[in-house]
Amino acid sequence: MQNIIVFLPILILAILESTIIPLHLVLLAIICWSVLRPGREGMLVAFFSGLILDFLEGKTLASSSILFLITSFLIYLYKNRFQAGRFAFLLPFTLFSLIVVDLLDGLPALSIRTVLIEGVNTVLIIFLFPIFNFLAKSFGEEQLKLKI
Amino acid sequence: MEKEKTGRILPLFLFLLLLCLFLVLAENFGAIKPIQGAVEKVTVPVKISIYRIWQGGLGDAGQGQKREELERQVRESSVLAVKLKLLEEENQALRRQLEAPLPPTMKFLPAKTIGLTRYLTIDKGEEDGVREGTMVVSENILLGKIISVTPKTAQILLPTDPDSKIPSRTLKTGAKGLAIGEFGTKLSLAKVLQAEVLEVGDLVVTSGEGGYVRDLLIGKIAKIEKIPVEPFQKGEIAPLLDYQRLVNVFVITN
Repeated sequence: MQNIIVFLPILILAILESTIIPLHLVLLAIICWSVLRPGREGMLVAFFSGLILDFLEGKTLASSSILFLITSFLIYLYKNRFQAGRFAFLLPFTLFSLIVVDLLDGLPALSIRTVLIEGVNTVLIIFLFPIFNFLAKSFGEEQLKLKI
Repeated sequence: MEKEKTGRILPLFLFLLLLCLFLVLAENFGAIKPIQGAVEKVTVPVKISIYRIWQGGLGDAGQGQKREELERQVRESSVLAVKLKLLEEENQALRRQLEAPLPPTMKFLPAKTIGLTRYLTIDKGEEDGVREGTMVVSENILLGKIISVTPKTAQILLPTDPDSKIPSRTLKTGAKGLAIGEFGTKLSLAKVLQAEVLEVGDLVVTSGEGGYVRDLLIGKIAKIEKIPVEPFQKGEIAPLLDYQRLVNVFVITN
């Protein structure tokens, strides 16, 4: 049941991202989940979400997983020292992550237009974060039972 | 939240990273294809349904809502009408493709669009004989080049993508240049020598270089940017297709 709560929204976001919305929705979800849940869980979710997205987008399998894992790990390192759940951290970190992903995708990531698009994409986290916060709280202190 | 020890998380992170690298390698050796094929049996129909609903939504915008009662009455006939329309569209697309001024030696594989994000995704893949680098057209208009293939789908690099650079020429004046995508929405004919003539309304076609089939239509010159001190002039190309509304496309298989 817990796995469904985590992966259903990510699956929906991955389908939308791979079909009609050219924004990095799954990456936003990974950022939210990594901030809200323990490091181990964030990383497992990042790994499996990357696989889902790669299957749907027809990309090289696990290429997105690598990106998501690194994102999740960076958040984990930051979270151990500071409060990561504040928008003062979330917004710049999200924008930075999106621009890095665009750079790796070969897009002109430093052009004004791309930065503006990713700026809009970044703002989406303001709406996604409360949703994932609600889902994360519904878990309480329980850990995800993902076996690997 | 209680702080976690990095020593507990780091091994997991490294393990997952190694697993990712192993999967990337496994895919390069083709070991993932059977799994990908099985997964796509489920995901492709879902993606087609969502994409068609979205395309339908685009068409209905501003038409207003139909009455529920009326919808119920016409539901059955609508199902048939949709089927008929799809078949008619497919038939028309096939006819147009047959009538398109393309070499008779070319062979086409009809495909349907199933998603448009950065790349356009179609419902034909490796199992149907689609290979990376092949052209995709609609009539004699170039849609792009296939850049990645999975067992049941393929992704097309559209001419408007920043990675797309197509050696081209104008049909009337013969000016040569590169059709370059900008930001995924715009297309321009760049690297055109100042001595060459660009005219608004002139058609832009592939020149046949760079692995592209010759004389496929790319678009129409909409605007010219000519600065005399620069070595090259530039023309903005208006694409002839609305990529979001495309349903039937054709992969050139030979």
